[in-house]
Amino acid sequence: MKYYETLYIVNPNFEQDRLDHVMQGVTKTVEREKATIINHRIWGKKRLAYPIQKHKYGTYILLQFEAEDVSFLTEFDQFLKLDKSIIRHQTIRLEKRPEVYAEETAPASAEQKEEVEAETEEAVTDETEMNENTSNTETTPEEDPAITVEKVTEEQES
Amino acid sequence: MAFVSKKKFCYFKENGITEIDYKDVRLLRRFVTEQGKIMPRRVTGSSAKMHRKLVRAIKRARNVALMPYTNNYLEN
Repeated sequence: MKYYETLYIVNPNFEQDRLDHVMQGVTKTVEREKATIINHRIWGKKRLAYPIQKHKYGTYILLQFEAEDVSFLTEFDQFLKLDKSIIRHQTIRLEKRPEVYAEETAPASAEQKEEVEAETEEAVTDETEMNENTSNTETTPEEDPAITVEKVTEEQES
Repeated sequence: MAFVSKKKFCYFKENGITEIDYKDVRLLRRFVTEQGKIMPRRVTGSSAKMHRKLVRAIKRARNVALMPYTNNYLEN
């Protein structure tokens, strides 16, 4: 078994349902030839480094599959070439079996939350330290604590 | 002092990278000049083995428009 990876760029003007249609067509041609798909996902709409067929953007789709018959690849290449909605494609041989792609949205958000919490805690500690410093400087004369209390009460009243 | 050359090191060896993915554009950008040319090994200091892999990755990335062949057209 050999592993392959195909990255193809679809016309950026395609909406979701037409995109799905193109992806289904690719899936069918791959599976017809005793090849099994490992990953087939939309990588995203990206800005092209140089214009292709006058398109500035393109929707990248990544396909990873395993196949035994090498002659299938020329056929698959021909199919991708003839499909007019695919503006560019490239197939590459992989050394190892690719990992099955899993969406990592949930753990990432959890980490972000933790980070935010940590930051807030730090901020709180900073504030308390600041308050201590200011109070120390103010309390050097004996009368000051009373004045500060008065100020606080005034503020509350106002 | 003026002629003390900076010690070169292989970026990939330092970071324990053995395989270069052509889709990792952020990494590949570091080994390309502003014009989009691949930097020579004498500049990057990378080992011959990794440089071959790097070159292949950059050329693959160029093929699928992830990286430019040239940036010269921007100036015109």
